[in-house]
Amino acid sequence: MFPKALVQELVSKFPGVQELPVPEKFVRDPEPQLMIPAEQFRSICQYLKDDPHMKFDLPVQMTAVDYIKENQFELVYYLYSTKRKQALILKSRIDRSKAQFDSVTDLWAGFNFQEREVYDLMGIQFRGHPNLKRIMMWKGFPGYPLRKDYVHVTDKYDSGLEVGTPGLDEKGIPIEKK
Amino acid sequence: MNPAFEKLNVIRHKVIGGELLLTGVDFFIDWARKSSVWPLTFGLACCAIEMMAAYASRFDFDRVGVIPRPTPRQADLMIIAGTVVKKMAPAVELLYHQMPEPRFVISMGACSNCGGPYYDSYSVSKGVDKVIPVDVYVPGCPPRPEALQTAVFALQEKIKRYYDAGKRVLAPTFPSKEDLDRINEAAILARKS
Repeated sequence: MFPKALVQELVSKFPGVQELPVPEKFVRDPEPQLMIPAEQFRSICQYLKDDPHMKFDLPVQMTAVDYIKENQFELVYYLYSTKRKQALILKSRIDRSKAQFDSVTDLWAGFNFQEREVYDLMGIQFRGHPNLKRIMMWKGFPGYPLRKDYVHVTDKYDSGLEVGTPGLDEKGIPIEKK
Repeated sequence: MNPAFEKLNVIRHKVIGGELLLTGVDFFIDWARKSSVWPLTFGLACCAIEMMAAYASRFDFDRVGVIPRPTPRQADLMIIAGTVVKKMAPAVELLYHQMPEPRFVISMGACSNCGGPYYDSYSVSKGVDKVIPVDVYVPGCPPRPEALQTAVFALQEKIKRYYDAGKRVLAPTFPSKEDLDRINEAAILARKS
C-alpha cells in the first residue's frame, strides 16, 4: 500500500520537500520518493531517525547519479523503518562543480563505507564524514572513474611500456630499506 | 623395464640385481623439473573455479605431477587464473619475484591474456604480460579444465626443450589446432557422459 499519509506529513512539515512521481504502473509496491534540498537533508534525516513515530532505523543503501547535462549530481538514499515496515527513498541534487554534501554517517553508521565509495568513484565530498578516504581505488588514482566526463589516463599496466612497481626494485625489495 | 624410460636419453647398464641408467645432469634435472611442476595456490577470479576443477578428482592434476603449494617459495609455476586488476598487479609481481627460479607463468583466460571483457575498464590491466613474463597463454572465458591441462602439457614440452635448445628462454607457446580440436572433443564427451 502506498503510504500517502507519510508523504503528506513530511511535505507539510518541511516546506522545501516535494514528492516525486512514482511509476506505480511498472512497480508493484512502489516506495515513496522525496526530493529534498541539500541544505535540509541532514535535519530531515535526523527527524526521520529520531522521531518515535517514524523510526527509520535501517540504512539500506545509498548511491549517486551523474546528470551531466543538467550539471548536477543526484544522491539517492534508501531507508527502511522496521517499526512502520516501510521503505523510503530520499533524493537530493547538488551542483556538479561544487560536489559537496552533508554526511549522515553519524546518524546511520551503515552509510560509512557507502559514502566513501561514492566519494571514491564520483568525487563527492561528504562534510563531517569521519574517514573520507578512497575505499576501492588505490591512493593516488587520477580522477573519479564513474563521472561521465572521466577520461582514463593510460598507465603502465595498460601500455606495458614500463614494467615494474614504483617503490620495488627488480627483485621485489622495497627501495626505502636499502 | 618401465616403458617410460624408452623415450629418454639414457644409457642402460645391466648390473647384478637390476639396471643402471646413465644420463646427463641437465637432461635429468629438466626431466625431473617437467614431471613435478608445482603451482602456487593462487586464484584471482572465476577462472580459479575451473582451475580447482582441474585439481580435483575428475581431471586429477596430481597424475601429471601438478600439486598446489601454499607458498611461493616452494612453487615453480604461477597460474594467473582470473582478472588482474591494477590494485592486485603489484602483489602478483611480488609473488612472482618471491618464487625461486626457474619459474613459469601460465596466463589462464581472456582477462589475464589481454584484459578480456574489461579491456576498456579503468581498473583492469590489459594482460598480465604487462606485469610479469608469461610462458603459456590459455584462451577461453573461462577455459575448461582440459584447456588448462593442455597448457601444462605445453609447458612440460617447453621445459623439456630447454635441454635440447641449450637456452633458458623460449618464445611463448600456444595450444596448436590439433590440441584445441582434442580439447573440444573431450569437452563434448564430458558433456555427454
